[in-house]
Amino acid sequence: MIFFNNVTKRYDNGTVALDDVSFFIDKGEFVFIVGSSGAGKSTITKLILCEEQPTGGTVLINGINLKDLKHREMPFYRRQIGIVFQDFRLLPNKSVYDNIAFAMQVRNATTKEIRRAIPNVLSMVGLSHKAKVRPGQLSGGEQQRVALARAMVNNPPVLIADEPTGNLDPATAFDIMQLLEDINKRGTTVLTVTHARDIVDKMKKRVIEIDNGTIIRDGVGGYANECKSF
Amino acid sequence: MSVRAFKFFVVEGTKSFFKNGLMSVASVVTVSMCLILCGLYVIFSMNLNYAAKQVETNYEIQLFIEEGTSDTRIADIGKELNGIDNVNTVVFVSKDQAFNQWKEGFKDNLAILEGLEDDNPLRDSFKITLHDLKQTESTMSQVNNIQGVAYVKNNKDSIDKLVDLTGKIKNASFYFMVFFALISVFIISNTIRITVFARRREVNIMKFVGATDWFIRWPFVIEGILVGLIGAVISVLIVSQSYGYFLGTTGVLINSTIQLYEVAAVISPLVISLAGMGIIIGALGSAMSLRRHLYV
Ligand SMILES: Nc1ncnc2c1ncn2[C@@H]1O[C@H](COP(=O)(O)OP(=O)(O)OP(=O)(O)O)[C@@H](O)[C@H]1O
Ligand SMILES: [Mg+2]
Repeated sequence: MIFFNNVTKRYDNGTVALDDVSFFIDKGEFVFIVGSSGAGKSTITKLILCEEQPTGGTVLINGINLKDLKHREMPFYRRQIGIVFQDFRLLPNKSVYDNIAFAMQVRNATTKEIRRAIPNVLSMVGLSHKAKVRPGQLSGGEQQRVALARAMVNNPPVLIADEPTGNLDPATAFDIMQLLEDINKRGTTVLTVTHARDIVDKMKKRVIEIDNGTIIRDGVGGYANECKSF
Repeated sequence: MSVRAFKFFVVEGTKSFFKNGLMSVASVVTVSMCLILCGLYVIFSMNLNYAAKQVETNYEIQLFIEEGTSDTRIADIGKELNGIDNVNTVVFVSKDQAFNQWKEGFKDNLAILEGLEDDNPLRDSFKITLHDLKQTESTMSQVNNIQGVAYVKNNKDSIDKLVDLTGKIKNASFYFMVFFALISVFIISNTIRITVFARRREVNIMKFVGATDWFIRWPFVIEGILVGLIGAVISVLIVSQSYGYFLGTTGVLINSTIQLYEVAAVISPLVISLAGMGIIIGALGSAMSLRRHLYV
């Protein structure tokens, strides 16, 4: 469950990225967040991950008010959320395999569990052949898919993907969206930030459209279409 | 910490040590320089203690016996001296022995002593050494009370001054060492801070995939310990080699009066203290410089 209640985010330089934003995403939902560049989409993901603090309003995730999270509780909270960052954030000195393994090692997974899980997620994102490669030697789309593999390897209850298809050709992008939908069908709440208009139109999911820091639409359907309001 | 996690941290720390080649070398050099000074201090203070001990145990007090004391009384005085707790050794020096020793000193100028042979001006005496110099005062009053003792020759004042001086030197050099160690920790943590700064993005990423502070910290700490240990090995080698060289060139000079420790005798205290300090400096330095980056 993700609940934004009158959330405002003003960055230190005065930019208001979110202005009185409210929405509620239930457990098990699949939601797109769309909007033009600079609209405030990534700011939403940053607030959910506690990378930034809201300057107004409250963010509740699974019943936890993020303002109340203590420093030492933070890692355990973050393990509940798989995230694909817009800028990937892969560890540059580790291979693809070790990058994904790291997300498991932080929660003390055994080598056996790691050996079982990683080939599985790598094949899901179609990168089995790149396991030993460093992120620096991958294309943008490949890095993006590694980030997705890392985000889903622990089966987190919430998966957030910030532009997971931004660097992909339409066919691969569609596969990745299909994958996200599969993950969602297994019960994971999925929040996808995207610019891919055609995919959003095709998938007929709930869409939250943001413009200049405010929600201008929240409903089912592609954002070019008429939609049923919530 | 599980064995698996421990292995992971050691592997990560070691890898990162070699990956940061140049910074690791810089850190090792800084740590070594600090530890070399610490090592010199260890050797210096060990030898100072050793010398003070030697001065103490070799310190003799001479008691002169009154003229005309009978031989049996002299023997009794010897027994009484032995009966005093703080007295360590008692040696009787007859006036003839004393005169012969004196003659040795004037070997080249025997004429001076002419005529004195038959009328020996020297006295019978006892030379004693003490267990504990600090109790010299009370022991002296006991000795003075023995019948037949004319007077006591005692260099207590100069010994006191020496012991006092060694204490002061040791204190001063200790404060100097502490001061220097603090400066080194500062320099080292700055050196490590540069590596940490270069890797702050990595640290940041680790935080966002749910790593705890200690999970991130341990590899850095182990890397720091590695730096400290290598620095310790280098400084033990340099300090012990230089000390050996020092003993070889100047040892003879000092040998006649006061003995210094052999190289072999200082090795294990050196290894223990320098390895200990190296580990502490390295681990503290890296743990401290990480702090700022963990709060995201
Ligand atoms: N750290 C920051 N400091 C100051 N301003 C920021 C910061 N991050 C983002 N902003 C500003 O906040 C606004 C929203 O940024 P955000 O990253 O949320 O946009 P976005 O919707 O994700 O855009 P895009 O589609 O290009 O990724 C922008 O005007 C941006 O310049
Ligand atoms: Mg963005």
